[in-house]
Amino acid sequence: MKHIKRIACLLLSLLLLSFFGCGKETINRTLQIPEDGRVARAVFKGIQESGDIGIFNGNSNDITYQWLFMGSLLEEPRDENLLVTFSSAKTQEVKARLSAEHVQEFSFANGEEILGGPSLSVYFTYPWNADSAEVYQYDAQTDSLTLVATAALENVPNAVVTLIPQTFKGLFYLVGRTTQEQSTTEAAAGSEPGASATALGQSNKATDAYVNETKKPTVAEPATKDKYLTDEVPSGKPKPVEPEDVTVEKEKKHTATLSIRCDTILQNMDQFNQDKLPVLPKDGVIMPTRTVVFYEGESVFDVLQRETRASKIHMEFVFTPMYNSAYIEGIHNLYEFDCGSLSGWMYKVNGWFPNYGCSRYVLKNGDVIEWVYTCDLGRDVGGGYAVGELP
Amino acid sequence: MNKDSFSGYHPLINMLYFTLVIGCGMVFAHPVCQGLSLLCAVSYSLCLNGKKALRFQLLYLLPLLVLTALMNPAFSHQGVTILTYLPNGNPLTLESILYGASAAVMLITVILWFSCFNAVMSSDKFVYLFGRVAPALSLLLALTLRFVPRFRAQIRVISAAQRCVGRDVSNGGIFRRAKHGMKILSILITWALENAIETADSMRSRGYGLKGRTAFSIYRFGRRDAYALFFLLLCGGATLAGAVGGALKFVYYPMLGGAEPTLWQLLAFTVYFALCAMPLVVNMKEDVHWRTLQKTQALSLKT
Repeated sequence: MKHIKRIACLLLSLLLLSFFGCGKETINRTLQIPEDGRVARAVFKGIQESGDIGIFNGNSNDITYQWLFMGSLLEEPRDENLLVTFSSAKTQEVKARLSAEHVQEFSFANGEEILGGPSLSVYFTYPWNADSAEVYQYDAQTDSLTLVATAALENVPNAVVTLIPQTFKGLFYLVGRTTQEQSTTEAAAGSEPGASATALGQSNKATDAYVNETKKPTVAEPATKDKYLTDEVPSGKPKPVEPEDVTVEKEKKHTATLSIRCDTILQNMDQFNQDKLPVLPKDGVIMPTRTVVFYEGESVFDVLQRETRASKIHMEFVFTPMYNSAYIEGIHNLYEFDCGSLSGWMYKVNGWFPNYGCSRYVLKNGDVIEWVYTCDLGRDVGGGYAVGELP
Repeated sequence: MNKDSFSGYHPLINMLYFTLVIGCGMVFAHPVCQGLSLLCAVSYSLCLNGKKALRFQLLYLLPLLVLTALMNPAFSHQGVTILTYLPNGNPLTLESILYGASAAVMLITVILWFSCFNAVMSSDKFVYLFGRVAPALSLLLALTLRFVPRFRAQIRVISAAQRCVGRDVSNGGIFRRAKHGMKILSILITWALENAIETADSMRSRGYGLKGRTAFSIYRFGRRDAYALFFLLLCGGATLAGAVGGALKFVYYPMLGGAEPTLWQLLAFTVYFALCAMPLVVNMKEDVHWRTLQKTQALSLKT
């Protein structure tokens, strides 16, 4: 009898926990993974319907990890267990076998595939002395290691490894690789030499197979910054286009919607520069959503400049050669730093905050452009990831 | 009106006056305050330095004023009144132009006040005021302030002596001239170093900075100094109170706007004007006094 009571209590608390998890989801994109790792179907359904992204943060053995789901890729949501366990049972052995300096063992609690092809980023607390990362699966029956995927490695300043898991059963290893190391590594010991694929040629084959299999890898090539310091652009999102390479075709007219808002200032009035009160709109709307016409090849910046001029809305920008883009300093006399030291203007297109400047975002027909004022480096408008937020 | 009677006041009064006026001139952004301060600074510097000041103002300060005023709208584009768009795509606003003008006026005013300060606060006054508190620092300051004029005088002496032996910068071809110039500079530096050591030795042998050392001074804190001190404290305090109370507040961005024109604001302006114009009033009073004295003397001589 006692046991039943205890179990019931536990179940109830778990239910409550997951319930609160759901409740939060509707307002916040970023979620903490519950202790048991279970995330309900309703949560994924919410992400799918919003067409937005969902971020789940977790922690195991002092290593932080983050799942990123794209709403557009979630087809048939269901309950998932997002727990990832970082362990160190065979780490030393694998290090020796693959002669790699950095090896991290991990496993999934889910067992079967997590739907929607989410990407998993693992945040280490120290930098890796490596150029790229690979994912190996351990097969206990044959005692062999198989390369299952390559992963993106960034040292910013500590190591962040991003991968799209394909298989979820068993033990996995994240392995740091330097270019020279890869070519000199011998085949790992195993009962079947063909099954272990660590030599360069075979690992490439394995990588190709992996790429062909997946619909769309989020991170296929190693994450490096382009020459304008832009991090890798997530898959399915448009890549930056340099404004000098584009010719605007005035014959091809398109339409997009544009809005300019500063609602966050209204929630942070204590930090607001009081001299600017006369220009602060009471409802936070500087330009209500409207349809605007643009020409083929024009960027978000071109549209903003034309529309603010046409509506006699003040706008100041400065062209920054380092990022090859205009930087919007102020709109409607509301400037960066007017509402605290983390405030300024950000833009999103179709709900996504691009991680590059507005002069490099070339518009498509029907794009939805939103300019929003942030008081907290993008976190308060749901765009923390665009400025490199860590979980 | 060459004799400046405000300079005859106690150094403490001179110092306090310039501290207040320069401090306020650097902080107050209200156009009325700036106008009053500029007016007083221009008149007082003319009163002190005469023709030389007028030449300096027209030749250097006026172009500086225009340049500074034009510089601001080129870099700052804030403001609600958009006049037109600059070639780089940013707006040209009325507010940024006015702000530039205000900053330029502030700069000019402070430069003028400093030129007056230099004329009034001679180095002996400076050492008298701060010699006890910070002997080394005040001596150093007094020496440094004298540096440039002294070097200029000395270089003229050296140049004249060199010309006698045909080695001035005006003698010979271009290379020879340059060589002569270097020689003159070298002589100047040698002299300056030697002079500095001599000054230091001389000051030490006289016991400068030692305890119990007295210094001769001709400054006496008389009754008119007490009145002046009272006046300065009263006006300065009232002005600062007005500023703290927000009566002198004025913002240029995002739109022009100042404190509501109240009686208090008018009072603060009046008090500030009285503060800035104090030496002018003193001089004028002395002038009138002197003329009446002359007149009465002439009359008494006649009779």
